[in-house]
Amino acid sequence: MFSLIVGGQQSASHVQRFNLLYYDALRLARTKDLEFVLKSFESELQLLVAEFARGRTFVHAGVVGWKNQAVVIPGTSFSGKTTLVTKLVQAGAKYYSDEYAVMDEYGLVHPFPRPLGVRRPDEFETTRVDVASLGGTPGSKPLPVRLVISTHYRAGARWRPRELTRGRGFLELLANTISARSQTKLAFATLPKALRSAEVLKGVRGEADDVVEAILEKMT
Amino acid sequence: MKRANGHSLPKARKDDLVTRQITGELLVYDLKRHKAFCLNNTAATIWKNCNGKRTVSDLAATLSNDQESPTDEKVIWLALDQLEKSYLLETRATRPVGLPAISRRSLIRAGILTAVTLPLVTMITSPVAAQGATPITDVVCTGRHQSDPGGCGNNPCSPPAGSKCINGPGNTCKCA
Repeated sequence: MFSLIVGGQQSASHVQRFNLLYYDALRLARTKDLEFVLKSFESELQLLVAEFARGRTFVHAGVVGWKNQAVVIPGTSFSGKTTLVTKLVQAGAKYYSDEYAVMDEYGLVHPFPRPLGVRRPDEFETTRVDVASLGGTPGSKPLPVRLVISTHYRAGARWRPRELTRGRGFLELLANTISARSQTKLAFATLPKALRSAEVLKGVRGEADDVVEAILEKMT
Repeated sequence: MKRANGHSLPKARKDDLVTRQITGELLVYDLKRHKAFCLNNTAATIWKNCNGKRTVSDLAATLSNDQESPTDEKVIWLALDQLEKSYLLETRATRPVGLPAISRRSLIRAGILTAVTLPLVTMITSPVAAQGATPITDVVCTGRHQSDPGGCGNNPCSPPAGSKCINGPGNTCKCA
């Protein structure tokens, strides 16, 4: 159970109380910044849904749609998923998610189109940006996966990926699957289906524009 | 499985594993250690035939038959080494005295490159759910205690990027 205790200034004194967020007895946040506490609440709630959703496998990944096929970019936070998703959307791809690839029992990817969490250089906090403000549109129908891009940013690197087998691609997805431990059998049923007709590329990348160009070339 | 001469024969582990065969590869999940493996066709064929009754020679013959190409026993030993390190064997084969450690590189160097693909077992550690979480700040992490339900949580924390909220000294948590 989540508990949210809103602090704020007491009218009779100058004492400003902390805002607190708990999950059962575990304190998740203690700060005077209410906005931060609410963001933490949203994030933890999403994580809970991602771990225990019935019949759905949530992979920590960015997703866009292109010509009725999905590009999935698995990766941890700070790996540059949102940057790639933003560039792809600006290039005309449909926005599916910058956080989770939600896969059903047939291996199709469903949209999870929350506002993009854009992080400016050297900043920890993200700013939520609506996809429409980027000139993009959210996708609405489930798509088969055509391409999986496993990458992270390294300044000056050139995009020269190697192609992985489906089995190795499965490990790349499983390494980012929220319910890998709690719903292993479901992940073992879903992810191979998602990779049925997908190509999996892995490599470090430099600036996003080069990768975006290569991705769109693959998708056409 | 032990033979009369005291030597044991390799036997694949069956308990607490989830497996799925895909084209040319076998996916395995160890529910006890939370590790996932991808076995290429060679490693998978050898593993599936480790029944505690087949010798290394038998396994080499089985693989030769399966892949329609002669197989050196060193290829089997390489696979067995990898399978043992991955805790995928219940019983391992007794190694002949004097048999040196075998690596993929040593086989290639020795010219043992047949039409049979060398065995390969790739492993990852399965993530805990919190690793997929949105990061927490250092302040939030250090405000947690190891004795809290869920402990330090193992959430990614930033800054520094790439660190996690893990156990610190005593009952504390720290980003590292």
